[in-house]
Amino acid sequence: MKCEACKQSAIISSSNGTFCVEHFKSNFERITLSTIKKYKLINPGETIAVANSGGKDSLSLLYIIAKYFKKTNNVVSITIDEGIAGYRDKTIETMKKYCESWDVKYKIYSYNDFAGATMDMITKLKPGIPCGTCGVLRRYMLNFSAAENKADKIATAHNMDDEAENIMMNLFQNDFEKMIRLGPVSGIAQYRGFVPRIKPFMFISEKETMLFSMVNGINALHTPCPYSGFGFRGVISRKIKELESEMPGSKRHMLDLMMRLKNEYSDAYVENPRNKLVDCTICGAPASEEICEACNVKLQIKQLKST
Amino acid sequence: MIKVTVKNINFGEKQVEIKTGKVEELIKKLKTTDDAVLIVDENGDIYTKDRKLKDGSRVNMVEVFSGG
Repeated sequence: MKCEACKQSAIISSSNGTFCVEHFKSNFERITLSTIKKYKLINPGETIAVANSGGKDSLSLLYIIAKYFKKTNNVVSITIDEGIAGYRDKTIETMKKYCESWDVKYKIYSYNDFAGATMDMITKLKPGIPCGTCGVLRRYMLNFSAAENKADKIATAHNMDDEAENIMMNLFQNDFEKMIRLGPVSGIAQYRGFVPRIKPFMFISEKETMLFSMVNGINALHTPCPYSGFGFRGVISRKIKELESEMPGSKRHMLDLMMRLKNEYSDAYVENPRNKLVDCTICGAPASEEICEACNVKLQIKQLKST
Repeated sequence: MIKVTVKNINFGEKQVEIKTGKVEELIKKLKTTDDAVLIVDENGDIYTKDRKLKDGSRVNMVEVFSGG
């Protein structure tokens, strides 16, 4: 295959085009910046907290945000340390190295400090697939840390595959409310203490994000979380990649359909009293129930540790 | 038949025989899909699925995964 811009040998062919190394890099940045512009994800003067695990996706995101927005915005890197020995400790070292090299200040928040247990401990205390519990704690801590750093937005490196997985999971679980909360800006309802999450990589595939980190020499650990792949998401992820290989453009079509649904139904969602947020009675964070999910997990861990 | 040595973080190293030499055939033989892997040779060159591999080629199969 030849690059569609210069006819040199291509390194990738996807629904975003067929490109050589140099044109792939420029096209990747162009799509990211046009997503930011189209959906007004970053406005001048805003403080942007970049959720940075130290992995390939988040480092690629930090690279672009630091490159294009450091002059106009306050950029801070936030890392959530789940406490996964041999994995997160390594990516944290990588994160520090790149933050220092790109002159971005970083903050680290740990599950152990918040919930009194690392993810390694939680998997021993709570049998079963740990991804749900981990997701609850990570979302909570990202919001908490972003608010603590007075961030206007949390930028995450969620890509087209992540979004397509979410769409399919919500479809199979008949969860329409969660479906229309997806999109380049997560969430619909505005509430004090809730920092909106933005996804500048939403229209870029996982393969492209991985390739971008490789061709830019971002030397991140190229191994997945040791607990991933066990859950429902792992199954869906494999199926989506099969579908995309058979029918190129499938993922993008799923995203376009979700955006149409979101535009059509998000007003009704916000107006529905069932979807109103309240303050968690324990921590005061935005919650859909009296006690937020993270405080529930924290209580559960405390109980399991005492038995 | 063209013999290709494939390295991967999960299965280590294995030799695969393919008829056409095409990366697409190699990916299929490894029971994966084009969207799920990157095929990279020892010089760091990245191969699209239509590229042909020579007999005795050595490549890395890097699996695409979420997050990190």
